[in-house]
Amino acid sequence: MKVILVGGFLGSGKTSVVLQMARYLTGVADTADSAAVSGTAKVVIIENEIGEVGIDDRVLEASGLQVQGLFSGCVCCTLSGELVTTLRQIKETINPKYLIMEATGVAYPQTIREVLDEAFTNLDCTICCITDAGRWQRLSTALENVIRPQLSGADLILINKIDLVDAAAFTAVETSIRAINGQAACFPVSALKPVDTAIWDRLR
Amino acid sequence: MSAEPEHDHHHTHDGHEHNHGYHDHDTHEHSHEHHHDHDHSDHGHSHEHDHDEHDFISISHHEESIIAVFRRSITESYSGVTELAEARMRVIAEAITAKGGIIGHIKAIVTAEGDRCMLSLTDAGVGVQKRPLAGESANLELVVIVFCIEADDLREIIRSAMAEYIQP
Repeated sequence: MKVILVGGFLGSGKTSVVLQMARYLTGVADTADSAAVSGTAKVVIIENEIGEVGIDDRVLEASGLQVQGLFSGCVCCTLSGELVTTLRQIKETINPKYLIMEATGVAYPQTIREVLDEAFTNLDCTICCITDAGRWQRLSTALENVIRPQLSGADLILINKIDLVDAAAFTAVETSIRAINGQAACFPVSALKPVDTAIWDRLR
Repeated sequence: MSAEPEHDHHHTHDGHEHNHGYHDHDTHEHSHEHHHDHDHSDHGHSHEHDHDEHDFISISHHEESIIAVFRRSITESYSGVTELAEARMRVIAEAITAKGGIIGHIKAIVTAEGDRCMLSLTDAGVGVQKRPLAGESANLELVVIVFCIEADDLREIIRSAMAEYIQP
C-alpha cells in the first residue's frame, strides 16, 4: 500500500487535486495492476477536516470514490491516534494499492509522515503539497508560521490556481516557495482543469 | 422562508463522543451553552468546542484557527437555500475581512429534503409523464474557518448574516 499525503493551506485546492489524482490512480490500478489488486479497492481516501461537519468527504464520495472521514481535529496532532488506527484498519481490511490522505488545511504533512513512520515499518509515503498562487503573498506573510512548515517536508509541490496570477506574480510565488523547499519537484497547475498526468505518475 | 426547529450535533474525537439530538425550541425556554474543552495534551495541541444550541452555531478552536459551524433545516426549496447560502457566504466573507480576519475557507453543503418525482403512464407505446416535485425544505451546513479574529466576533457575524434563521 502506497500512502500519498496531500497537504496545503485551507482553500488551496486540495480536494480538487485529490479528485483528479484518485481518478487517475484508480484507472492505473484498474489497467496495469488489476491482477495484483483484483477484488479490492484500488484507491481509498482518508479525509480529515478540523470542523465537526465534513464537506469535502461528501464531494469525493459523490464522485464514486471510497472515503473514510476523520473530523473535528487534525491528524498531525489531536487525531494522530485515530489516523494510525484508521490506516491500520484500512490496510488489514481493504489493503488498497493507493491510500490518499487529505490533511486539514492547518496540518503539517511532515508531522503526519513522522507519526506514520513511528507506527508502521517501511511505509511507502510521499507528501504532495498544494499552494494557492492567488493568495500566496498575503497568506505566506500573515500566516508564515503555518504555511512554511506545511511545505518544508514536501516531495512534490503543486502551485495551484495559476490562472489567477500573471507571469510575474507566478515567478514571485515560485521563488518564495523555492526558498522554503528547494528539494521538492514543483509544478504549476490549475486543478479545475485537467492536470498533466505525468505529475500523477510521479506518485506511483 | 422560515426555519425548522431542528438541531443535531454529533461528533467524536479521541473516544470522546457528544451527541446533541433534536432540540425543540417550543418547549425549551431557558438558555444554556455547552463548553467542551478537550486538552489533547499528549501532543500539546488544544481543540476546544463551544456550542450555543439556540443559534445553531458551534465554535471550535484549533491552534490559531477558529472554526464555526452553522447547521439548520430551512423551509425553502433546494435551489432557494443554495441561493441563500451563496449570498450569505459573501456577506460573512465581507464582514470577516472588514474585521481584519483572514479567511481560511467558507464552505457549505445544501442537502435537499423531500425532493420527489411523480411518474404517470396511461397506455402502451407512449412516454411516461414525469412531474418533479420540489421538497419543502433543505438542510444547510455551513463551515467557516478563519484566523486573526475573535471567536465572539465570528459568532456575531454569522448570527447577523443568518439572523432570520436563528430565531425560533
